[in-house]
Amino acid sequence: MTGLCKSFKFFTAGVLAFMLISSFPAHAQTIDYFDLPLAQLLGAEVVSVSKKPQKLAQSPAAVYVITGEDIIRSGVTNIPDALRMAPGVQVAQADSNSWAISIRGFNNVLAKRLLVMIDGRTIYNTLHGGVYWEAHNVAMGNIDRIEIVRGPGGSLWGANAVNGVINIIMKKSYRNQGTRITAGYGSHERGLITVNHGGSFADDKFYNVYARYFDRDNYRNLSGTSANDEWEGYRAGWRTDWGDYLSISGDIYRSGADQNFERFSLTPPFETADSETAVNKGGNITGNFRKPLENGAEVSLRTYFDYASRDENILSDERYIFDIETQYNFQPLGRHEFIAGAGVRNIRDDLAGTELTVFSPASREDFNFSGFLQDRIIIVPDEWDLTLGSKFEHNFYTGFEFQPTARLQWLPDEDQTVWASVSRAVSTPTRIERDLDITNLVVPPGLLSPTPALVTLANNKSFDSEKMIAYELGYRNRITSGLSLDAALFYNEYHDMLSVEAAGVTPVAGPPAHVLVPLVARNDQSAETYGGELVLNWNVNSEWKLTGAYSYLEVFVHAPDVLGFSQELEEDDAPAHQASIQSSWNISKTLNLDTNLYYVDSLPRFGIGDYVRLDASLGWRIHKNVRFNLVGQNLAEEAHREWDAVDSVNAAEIERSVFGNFTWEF
Amino acid sequence: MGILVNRICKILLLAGFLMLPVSAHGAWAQGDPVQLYEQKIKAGLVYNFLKSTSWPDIAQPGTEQNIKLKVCLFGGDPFDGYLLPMEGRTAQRHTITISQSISFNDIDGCRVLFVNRNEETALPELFEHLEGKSILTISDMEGFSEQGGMIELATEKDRRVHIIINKKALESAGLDIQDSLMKLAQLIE
Repeated sequence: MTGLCKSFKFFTAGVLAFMLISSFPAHAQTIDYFDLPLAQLLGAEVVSVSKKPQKLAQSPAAVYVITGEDIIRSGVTNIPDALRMAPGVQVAQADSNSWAISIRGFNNVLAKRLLVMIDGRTIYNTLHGGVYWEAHNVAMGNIDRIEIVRGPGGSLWGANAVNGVINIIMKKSYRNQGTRITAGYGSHERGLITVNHGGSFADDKFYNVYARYFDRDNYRNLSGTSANDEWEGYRAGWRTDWGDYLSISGDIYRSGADQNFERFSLTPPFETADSETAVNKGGNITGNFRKPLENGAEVSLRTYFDYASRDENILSDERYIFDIETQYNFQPLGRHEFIAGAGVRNIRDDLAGTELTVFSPASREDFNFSGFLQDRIIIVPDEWDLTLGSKFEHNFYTGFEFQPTARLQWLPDEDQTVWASVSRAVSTPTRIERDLDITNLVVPPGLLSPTPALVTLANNKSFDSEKMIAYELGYRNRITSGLSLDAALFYNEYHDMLSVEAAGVTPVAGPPAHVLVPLVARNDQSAETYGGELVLNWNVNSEWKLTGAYSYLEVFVHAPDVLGFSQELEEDDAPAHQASIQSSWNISKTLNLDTNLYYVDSLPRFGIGDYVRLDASLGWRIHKNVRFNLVGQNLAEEAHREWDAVDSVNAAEIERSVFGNFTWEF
Repeated sequence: MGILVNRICKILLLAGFLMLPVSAHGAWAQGDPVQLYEQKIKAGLVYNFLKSTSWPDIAQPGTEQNIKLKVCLFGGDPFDGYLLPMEGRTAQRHTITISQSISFNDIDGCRVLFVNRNEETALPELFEHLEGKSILTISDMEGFSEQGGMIELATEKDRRVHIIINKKALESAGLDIQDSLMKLAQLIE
């Protein structure tokens, strides 16, 4: 409780800082330009091209944006299903409530090295760097867009932005006015209701409030019985916007996700499967403020407080994050666009281990300090520009870290862009690698030794950051007004990656007789990945849009063997080939059909073959204010697996499903 | 030592003389075409549009004195404040007012809507709200006119601001722009 009070103090300090900055003086100007005749205005030379807030889609990086409209039209009910629409993102559904999501390789449930944010608030769990996707089931109709950067974004965003950045941006309340009720039901969605209401207090003060409840059925496991993966939860929140300059928003949520786990013993049966409901609970409050200054400069400030807890058999985790960061954009000289920023993050947690896990210490408080500087140098206006920048961070575990980038962009003509970049990114150690002891995991006899093996993991207080250097090349071309192409190639080198190593096998006489296998986490793995993504957008006509995407990935891992077992498994945890065709068609004024066809290559690590997935959504505007969506997911097959080994207790078949969704706006 | 200082002073003096004609040349070069901050050019153009557009419900310019020409900035001020001095001026004898509108609901009373170029994702919903209304839409967003906007201000490589007008969009909103202005614009259907 004291932690909460402390965070609240921080938050209040942040709000006070807002108010201070708001009192910056406004600008003065001269007024002669209104009297100039038209011809003279059109003949006037632009003396200094104003700072174009560079659109993400035009930046020298591999970027894709899923719009709110894409999300509504496709009928998806959660963020992972929406992310399937982004080329080069690897989305594999493990069961009804868990997903493995990564970009450019190293996929896993709770894959780290990916920075995921909602309105700038990081939602990956700082305990291990992965995302509990089931905890962040936001109101899909309130999403403005999802911006996805493939490749490192560490120079701007900092640690964990190694393989990519996913930023979920919610609608501003002034774009979310009126009342909207969405209710859905189907073969897998057993009930989904979202109520959103937006209004205003004054001319430029707006708000919206929402509440959401959902319940998802179990899938079947490989033997045809229930996979015990039901998912149910609620979420409620609000947002207030003061004009375009200040917003404060917050949510509370609870999600219950059923899952299976194993209990271990050194005596038969060694492993016993059990089931539980993993509960994620949390709340957050985020403030965003920006203030345009003279000559296009801008200062912005963001602060948030986030409480998140998770309770399950393997551990229980409570964490409090307070974060404040400020950014300043300015053009001191005509050819330079500077962005400078600084921030501080405070993370406190309370962990309770179980029969399987021990955290030492059980509770800790860390401060991370960061600063960044970026200069976009316009070498030849509208032709060549170079972006140089770096993030500098100081964290409790590894001290000082830097993540520089250099990005060169060439615009041969108005329709083409060529860019190249070299970046360094780091993934800083998390509590899991530094402070976790696994005490009694048992491998049944016959696998490692004739007797059962007691496997333990000892914490490694000197576990270091993982480093990565990325080389990227990109090309964009607007071939005609309706046809455009976006291609990116990458080569990534990873060093000091997490490796798990055995310190030897010690026989223990018992009783019961067993062998002791102590494992330790080290930084002895390295890897190279290369590949590319190609996206083609074709507006066939004003009513029909097609998007085709293909991505290729090759992963080479170098890791020491553990007890004769290869640890290079991560070579096979993301598909080598992925392709998709997305069609968005307005059949008439009131009918639209959106179909997404995906091909995903095999995952040899789990014995999962390649598969085709077809999702379709038929939207019908019954009345000006009423829309009905009929959504079919995974229509091509009765069921298929997307993730998890056959012997995993949570392996589930992702089934074909159909549901209907009514939206009523008034 | 003294000689060295002397020489340095001489060099500096010489450099000073050399710089004089250079900067004078720079000043002269500024003379011919007007050089203006981009936002000021655009603000000036918006004022010109107000002077040369006719709205269907204002039949005779200047006959109805009470009508105010409300210019709305949709999605924040892209002019860095340089449009604000236009408030209180008159165009076709009507007083101009400026207001910031960020929600779809408060665009109804606007005569002119300047759409911030960051609002690309809001365009489909915005155009839906504008259907059947006689509101002149302007933006410096790339591709605005192609997507159904009426007037696009494009800063091209020649460092000039160009006007692109979507005639079809204008006509379907019942708006009319004087020929003298249309002649200076690039028209698309």
